[in-house]
Amino acid sequence: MGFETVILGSGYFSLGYATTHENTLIIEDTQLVDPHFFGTLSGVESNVEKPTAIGAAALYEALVNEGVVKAGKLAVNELEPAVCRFIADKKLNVLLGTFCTAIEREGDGYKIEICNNEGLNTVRAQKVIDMRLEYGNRMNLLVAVNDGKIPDLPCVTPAFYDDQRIIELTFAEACDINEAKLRILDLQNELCKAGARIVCTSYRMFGAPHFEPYTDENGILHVDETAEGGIFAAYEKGELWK
Amino acid sequence: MILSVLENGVRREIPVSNVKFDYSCDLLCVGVGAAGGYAALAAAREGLEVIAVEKDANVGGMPVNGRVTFYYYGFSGGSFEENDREGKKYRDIFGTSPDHNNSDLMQIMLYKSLAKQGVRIVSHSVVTGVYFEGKRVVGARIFQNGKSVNLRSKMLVDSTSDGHVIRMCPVETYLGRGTDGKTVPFTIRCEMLNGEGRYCYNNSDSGYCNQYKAMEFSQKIINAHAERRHNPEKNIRLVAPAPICGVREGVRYKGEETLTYSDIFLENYPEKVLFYAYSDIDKHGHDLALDEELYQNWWVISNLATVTVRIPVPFGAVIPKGLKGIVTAGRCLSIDSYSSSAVRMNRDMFRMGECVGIASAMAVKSGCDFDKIDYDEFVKKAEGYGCYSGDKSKKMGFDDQAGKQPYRPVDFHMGHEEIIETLSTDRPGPAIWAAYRYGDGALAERLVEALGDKGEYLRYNAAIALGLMGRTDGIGLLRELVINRSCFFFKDCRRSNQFRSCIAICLLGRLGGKEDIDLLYPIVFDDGEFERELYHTLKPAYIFSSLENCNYVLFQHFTHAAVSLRRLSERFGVDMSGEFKARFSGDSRKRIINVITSEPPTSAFYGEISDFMEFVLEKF
Repeated sequence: MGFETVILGSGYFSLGYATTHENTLIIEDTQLVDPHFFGTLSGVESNVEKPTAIGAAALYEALVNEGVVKAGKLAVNELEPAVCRFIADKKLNVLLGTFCTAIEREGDGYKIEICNNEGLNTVRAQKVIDMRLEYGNRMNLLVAVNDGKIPDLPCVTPAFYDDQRIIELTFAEACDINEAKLRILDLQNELCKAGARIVCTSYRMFGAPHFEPYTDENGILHVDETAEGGIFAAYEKGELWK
Repeated sequence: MILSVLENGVRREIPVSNVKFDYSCDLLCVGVGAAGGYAALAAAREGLEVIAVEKDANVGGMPVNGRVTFYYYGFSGGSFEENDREGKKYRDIFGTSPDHNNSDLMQIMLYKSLAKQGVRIVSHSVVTGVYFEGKRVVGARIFQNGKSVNLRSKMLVDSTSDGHVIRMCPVETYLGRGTDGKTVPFTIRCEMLNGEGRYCYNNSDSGYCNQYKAMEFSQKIINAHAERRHNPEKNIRLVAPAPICGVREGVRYKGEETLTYSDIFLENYPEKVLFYAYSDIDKHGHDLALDEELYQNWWVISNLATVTVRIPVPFGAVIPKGLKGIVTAGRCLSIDSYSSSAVRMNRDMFRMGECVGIASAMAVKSGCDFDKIDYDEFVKKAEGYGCYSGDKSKKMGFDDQAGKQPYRPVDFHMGHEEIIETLSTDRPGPAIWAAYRYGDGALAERLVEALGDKGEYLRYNAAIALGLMGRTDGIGLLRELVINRSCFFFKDCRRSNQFRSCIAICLLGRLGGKEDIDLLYPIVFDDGEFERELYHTLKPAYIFSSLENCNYVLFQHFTHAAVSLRRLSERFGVDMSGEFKARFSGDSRKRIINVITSEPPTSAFYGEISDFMEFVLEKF
């Protein structure tokens, strides 16, 4: 398989990039097209306003029509199907459930070894962008609250709906999500007192230190789309990337 | 030593020497889902050193990441119940509805119990190769945290559902049903919130997929997500779609023993049983006309879709033929396609995993192969943990889990008068099957007599029973059912009941004469057929179909007639290939699809119709 660009990690930067750069393949190890915002329940109020770039603006409008964007807020837990509709419409090449196990330079381009249900395979590309993020030390819970009673916990922020909140849990260091979820049980008292109920939880940890895009010694561009200030900013950056 | 890998779907063996193993363990469990989680737990509880590798970051598999949190059949019993009880203490802080479990709690309790037993979990990692010494698996190569590591094991359990490790092994593998290779449709499960703030669920079949073709599978997943819409008018909010899709069937392999649906339907039981599973035999999908004959005999002609069966899974069905040091636990078994629909329920996966874990521990501790353990001792241990037998009273019957109707056992050893009595109703299914399975010449004579009955049901049902016995005595009545075709359906089941005229069409395909080609022809080839009243009478209803936006009555009549016409034309040397080609392509194809469904081309059911048409074009 040969492509102009292979992007490791699905997300808004990669989707924006793929719409303006032909022959792009996005490779994602989960089955999600949005592991960074939907997958972490992040970005409810991150620059949720109409961007200027054409493609990003179209994404914005599409999500407004879906009811997933309203009044400066994003329904992060509802993003995945809406974004899938967007991708299906644009016919982007997205390979899910696929790990990248090795990258090496080959002439002017790259040889990328991948592993999925087909086994091991090799993809070749002229450029590689790496959007995979290290797992961090935070996770989010989306909770339903009653009659305005907010659980007495640190880091409770608004969610898309007025009767919901996002609770961010922070751990001392990078943590396995299974271990992190075990800590949810410690919140039982505070949640019960407020009559709050957990609606859903992060699929993955997040919160590794942000970084600006940089190119490593192998010529691979590394992008942290969660540092871009929200999904539309990330999409716009990818769309306009030269 | 050999490193066996899978490259682009093809297995390759690489001779290796002086392999440095970074870690070693007694049991390497690959896949920490429903089965793998409890296999690892059981083995560790028996004293083994266990490493469990999971490609997701979250343990728990389909119940957790697939959000299949309810228990649809499967037997109770086993260690998972202790985890469920423990999880119940925290239910108040989750929004889950009372009749479902909570995926986070299932994950937490599984993880907690694994940690307690000292299982080392390696998450977000995949196996990329298997090490063999001769026919014995001695370890695996794993991609973990950006690098490859080698792991030595005394026993490896492939509990990856899709047989990720098995496919790297020198063993025959199979995929899909015999007619067209299709596996059971997959689903995407969505959790939603109703107006009272409680969970409700959306669980729709999303069409056939081949998860072993990565790009095609990815597109199917994206399309399936794209079709999910919540309904703000009913005040239902989307919580989230499941992070992994609900694949129901994957690769099977040749094992030391094989479970077949023939064994289940015909009650052929193995000598040594690994455990007992419990389910109906629901292959999902709606293209019943393409199913294999025995399955059609059960599901279509005998209308037994919702009969649940206690299924003895052979001990050797988890052992790849000729290999040592490796077994499977979960969906990937030595099993045929239809049986695999039945041996995949959550509770049965937990129980199977636990049984495999117990047996694996016995093998490792006694230094023998899996199939050489003391079987009686294994049964005693597994019974002790409650994961072996299940409910012995539920052999075969109609089991309405929703509890609206009491359990009705079915015994197909029916006397002649009981058969006649049952055939005299609109619930003749058990009697039809009884006639097929155990009917003799005396019964056939009794049924021939019944062909003259003047009641509403008996003569037609007797004709169907005789047809399933391979007799043509009632063929005139079968033809009458086709000529006067209607949307009448039998009522044996709480869902998926079959249309009587479709049953007649199916039987005519097997038993009919050359003249029946003319009888069936207009159902497939005449556009005027679509105007008939029978296709415009029924509204969609779960009792016969779960599909919306679909003329299900037409779909079943059309597809059964097409297959029966093919059978008859082949038998009598009538070449209809040109007519099928013209009818199933171009504008004619579009017209037919538009009449059957208003779903868009990306929808699962549209895909099914389209696939049927492709099958006809290719095979007819």
